[in-house]
Amino acid sequence: MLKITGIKKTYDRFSLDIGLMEVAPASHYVLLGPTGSGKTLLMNLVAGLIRPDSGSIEHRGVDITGMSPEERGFGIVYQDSALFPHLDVAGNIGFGLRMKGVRGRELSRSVESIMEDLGINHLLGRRIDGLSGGEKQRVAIARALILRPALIMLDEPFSSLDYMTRQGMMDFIRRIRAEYGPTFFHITHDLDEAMSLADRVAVIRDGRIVQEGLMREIFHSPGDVFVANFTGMRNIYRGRFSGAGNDTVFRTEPGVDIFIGRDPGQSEGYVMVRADDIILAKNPVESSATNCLPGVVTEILPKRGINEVSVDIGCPMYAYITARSVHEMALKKGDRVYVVFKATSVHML
Amino acid sequence: MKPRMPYFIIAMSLMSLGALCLVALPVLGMFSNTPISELLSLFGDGEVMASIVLTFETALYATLFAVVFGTPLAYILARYDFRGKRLVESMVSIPIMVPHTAAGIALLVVFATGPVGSFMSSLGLDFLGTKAGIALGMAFVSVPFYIDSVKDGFASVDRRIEYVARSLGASPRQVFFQVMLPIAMRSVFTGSLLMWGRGISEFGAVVILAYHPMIAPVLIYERFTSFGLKSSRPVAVLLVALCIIVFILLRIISGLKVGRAENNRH
Repeated sequence: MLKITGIKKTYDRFSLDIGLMEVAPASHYVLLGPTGSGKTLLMNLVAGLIRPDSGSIEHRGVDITGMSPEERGFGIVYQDSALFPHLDVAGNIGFGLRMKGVRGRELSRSVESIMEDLGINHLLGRRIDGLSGGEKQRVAIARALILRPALIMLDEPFSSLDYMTRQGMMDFIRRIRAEYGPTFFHITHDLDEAMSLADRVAVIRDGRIVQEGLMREIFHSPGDVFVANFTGMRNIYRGRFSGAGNDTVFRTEPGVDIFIGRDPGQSEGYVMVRADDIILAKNPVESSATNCLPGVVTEILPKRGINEVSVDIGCPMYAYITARSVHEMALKKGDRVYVVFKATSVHML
Repeated sequence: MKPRMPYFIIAMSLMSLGALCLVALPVLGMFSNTPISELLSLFGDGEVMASIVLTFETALYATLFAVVFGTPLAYILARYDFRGKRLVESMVSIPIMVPHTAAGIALLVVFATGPVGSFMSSLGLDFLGTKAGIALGMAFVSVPFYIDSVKDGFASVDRRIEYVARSLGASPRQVFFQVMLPIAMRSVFTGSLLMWGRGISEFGAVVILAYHPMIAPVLIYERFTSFGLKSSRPVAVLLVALCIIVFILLRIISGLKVGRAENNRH
């Protein structure tokens, strides 16, 4: 268990303040946040590359706050691999063992063994500058893994890779986790990475953790507008609640009424609707628990495997519709449609 | 449509010729005005050969001094921020701005006559009229070139490479010797070459500290003032020719070796 308690660090004008963070052994923990939110600073603190102003870091019940990076022995894999350019592939992978005094045949055997395990033995003897981005990342992971660290930190590890390579790398990470069982402490701004790999996620903003939990909790029940935006929520509206209980309605600031059907516990605030909880219909849908709002299609944007349809219902609302649905409805810009979603799909912030 | 004339490139190229001519014409002129027989006869001139060997040798000592003591300073300047860093950087650049004869006087005052000089003399190291004095003069005026080159080399290494090395169990000393130095080796080599070359060409500081034994630039000056241009020119041509040959050889060696430095270590 990695336990971070009351860590504070001020760096130039930026301050990091982490109350409590617990990373379970053998889990994949993702720290999700935008650029400049303090992710890398926190990672450097955990790695021991920077000392905190206050607070403590424990690993397996031992206070490691004052330990040097080499004493902690956590693996690090950076976005651009940070391979040693003066060493070849085997030299990079064997570096950690060499620092521990392993030499000769024993070193070669260990390097070849892990390369074979990870399916990268074809890279043996290759120079670093001849490797592709994905190969570099595999070598960087092997370099960290050869010391069998209890914790491996991944710093935006797939950001510079193309889509196909990223998918392959995510499979690679899952395989390593299954076979070697390290804890992964993974920092990223990429929601797909977090959704694909994380057991638990902490969302960081301006040096503070704003929400922590299971990925699905964060995705479906964001704690505030920032988290909602960051997790890809497109339909967020500010307005006032009226009525009570089953008759509760939310009126957005542009004046569109959204049926909530439950007590909000507040008179004004934000509501949001996930774009994939919305369906579009050419005709009205009758249901007491359903919103059916008329609007006009203003844009149809093809995205990966889906179409984002924007509809003007008095304010913009976005729906994710399959290409097949768009084709079957013969949907095009300017069409009059009904935006349909359940009252239970409306989340209040 | 006809492609437009690259007037900008033509103009830039013509202007570049000005700088190129400034460097090339004197060297070419010197070579073309010196018969090969005069050059060959110098190989039998013991004083000339001794001065050239002495020049190369003392410049090498100066360079070794910079490698041993300048490399740590370059690393500190490249990697750490501390109070007074700007001052230290300015101090390192002072020899570039100071007239070299003035530098020679300063070195003479401190290392030959002052308390530092007395202390060094008690250790058996005299700087007045010795090889050590020549190397000292060369080192003083040329060390900024070495430090700047190596500092740039260290600064260009991604900090995360150091971080990874630390996470893999390397101590700060191991990070320096096993990671930073090998990666920055090309800069160390280039800096050494620059420093060595600058040392060979030094006259002003050396002539104050150690007129004798004579290094080649002092000998050229001596022959020019005593016997005129005809006597000094062949020595100058020989020195330039040898420098060019050695520089080319070292560049080739650095290209072959440093490019693949440590590549197979594991």
